[in-house]
Amino acid sequence: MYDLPVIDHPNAAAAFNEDDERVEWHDRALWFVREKRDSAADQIPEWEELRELASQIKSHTLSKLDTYLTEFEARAAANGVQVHWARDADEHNAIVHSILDEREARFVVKSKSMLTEECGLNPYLEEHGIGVVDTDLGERIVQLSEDAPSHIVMPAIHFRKEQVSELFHEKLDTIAGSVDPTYLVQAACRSLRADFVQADAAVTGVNFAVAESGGIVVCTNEGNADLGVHLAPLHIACMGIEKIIPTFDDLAVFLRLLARSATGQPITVYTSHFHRPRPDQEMHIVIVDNGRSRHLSSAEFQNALKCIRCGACMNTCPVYRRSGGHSYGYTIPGPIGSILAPERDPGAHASLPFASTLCGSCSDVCPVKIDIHEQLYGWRQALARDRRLAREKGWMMRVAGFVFARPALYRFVGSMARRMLKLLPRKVIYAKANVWGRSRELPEPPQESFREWFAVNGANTGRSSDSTRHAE
Amino acid sequence: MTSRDAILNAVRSRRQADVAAPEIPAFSRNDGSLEHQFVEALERVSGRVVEVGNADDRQYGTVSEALHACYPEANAIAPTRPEWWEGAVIVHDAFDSGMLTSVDLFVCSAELGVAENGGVWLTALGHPAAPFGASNLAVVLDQQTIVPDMHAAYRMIQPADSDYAVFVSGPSKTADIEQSLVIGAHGPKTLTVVLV
Repeated sequence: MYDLPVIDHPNAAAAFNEDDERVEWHDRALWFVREKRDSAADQIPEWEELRELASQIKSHTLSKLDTYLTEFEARAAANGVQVHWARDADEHNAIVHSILDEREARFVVKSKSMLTEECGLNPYLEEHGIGVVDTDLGERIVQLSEDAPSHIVMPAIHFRKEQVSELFHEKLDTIAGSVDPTYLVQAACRSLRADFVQADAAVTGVNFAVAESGGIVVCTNEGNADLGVHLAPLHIACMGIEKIIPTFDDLAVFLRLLARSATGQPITVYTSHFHRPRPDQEMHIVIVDNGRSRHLSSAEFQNALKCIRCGACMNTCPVYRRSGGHSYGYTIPGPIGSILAPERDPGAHASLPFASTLCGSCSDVCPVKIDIHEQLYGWRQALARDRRLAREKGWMMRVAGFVFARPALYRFVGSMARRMLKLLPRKVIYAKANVWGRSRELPEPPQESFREWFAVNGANTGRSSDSTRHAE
Repeated sequence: MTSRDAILNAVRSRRQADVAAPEIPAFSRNDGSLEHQFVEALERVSGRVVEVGNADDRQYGTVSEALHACYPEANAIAPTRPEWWEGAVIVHDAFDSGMLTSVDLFVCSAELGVAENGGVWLTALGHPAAPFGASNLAVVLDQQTIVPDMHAAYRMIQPADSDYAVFVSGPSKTADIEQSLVIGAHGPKTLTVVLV
């Protein structure tokens, strides 16, 4: 009757929490990035106005998405760029593969693209005999260790430098035991330089696609996207349909918000505008749906499509900070991932909207004002309605509902509980079934219930003769 | 039905009611010298600024003088204008990509600078790989072209006029190894703006 969630956040998080010291480091490191975001935001007096503008620009764009998509395609095509459309992940992979095949490209360098992660492009290409090297340093670390990214902006945040040192010693021949970050970075960059020069093609993501000109904008700190594209004879840019924005005036708003929200920088080192390929080069753009148009049809949940992939929600989320990206089991983790994933596959990702305290910090920092915490709550309701709650949770909710609907039973259960908490041995109270009590002390049971107290004291609590009644 | 039609139909039939585009105000500011803000912003992201001109308070008389002083050890220099470094090879779009990755110093000019983030807008690059392949990057910027923020910048520039153009703010960097900031990743490890 129930679909057991395939990805169980609580269990995965428990595994992450076994290493206390690592949890503390992860928590502190991410909170530090949140603080840098705050400093950057504080320096912009119009910060809140920018967020509101960005949110409205996205709402407007989503409401006319087909118009902007066709405008973008027409202008890109007029620039000599070949535009392709992919309904889903499989079609996206097939299109990229066929573009590469037609030009006999066997070796690809790729800069950061969450979309290509979502579509599983790397394993697909490897299966078809095409080598792919991820050139963003964080992604390269993850790739060399055959691991998965844990954050959308800082994919290797879960790695300590000792682990990177060991990895590079094994794969890049760096000196054993050397943990100097500069040395390690230089070793990786030297190795990747050779890859850039040899590559047959460069695959990039798209941060923003500008409808009014048909151009795409890619933001990096390392310069890897640019080095890849400018040295390769073929450039393939992959984007979701929601990456479109109408004009360059709109772009200005987003660029002022993106890096400040992500890492606290006023802007990324490189903000690259690609309009046309070099004379000796071909440029392709693959526009991907993969469930986004379906997402549009939900008035309640479509705002999640506004996301500009800054990662600010992850940096601030207490649950993400203390459970790590891998606990979410989805390409995009954290608060935004927890409202995107259930739309994609509610069965597999039913535990994610519950991986939250609903504190709302994510909504506070979101540069496009997605109501993340409200959507998390909305998804809980949707999942409960569809009977996708974890078995124990569903059972507990129904028992609670039964008791709360019967006042006499509620009073009885309450008074039994107060008595039992005082009488029962600790071992029974904190048995395995008491999930809440695993790392918390239960409160002291009161002598009497509020109802009992009010029956005796209520009418006579010190009220002056002209005190006003509160309207209920 | 093509995928294109399927996607556009799906979007058309599912999108929510029209929402008007907001008006983006001109954010006026009166924070003092744009040049001063620009220098501060760029230095905060590990960029360097030197000043060239005839006035007494300028560090150097010519761009060439400034570049020689900042990069005394540079051997392979590729400027986009010959007067910036005598005897250097001028970068052009038929440049061998292998050569571009062995350049010590690439020098080009910027169309404008942005005070709020120390960014410079580069359009005339000779070859687009030049500012990324070189170990060091120097950019000549007319201080009169510094604008307050990105809104002002986009009102002035025409990104679509260039096949490729880029805002650059500081030298390349990464913090992917345990959040330790390392200056110099794939792109150049220094950025010097020569203010004229």
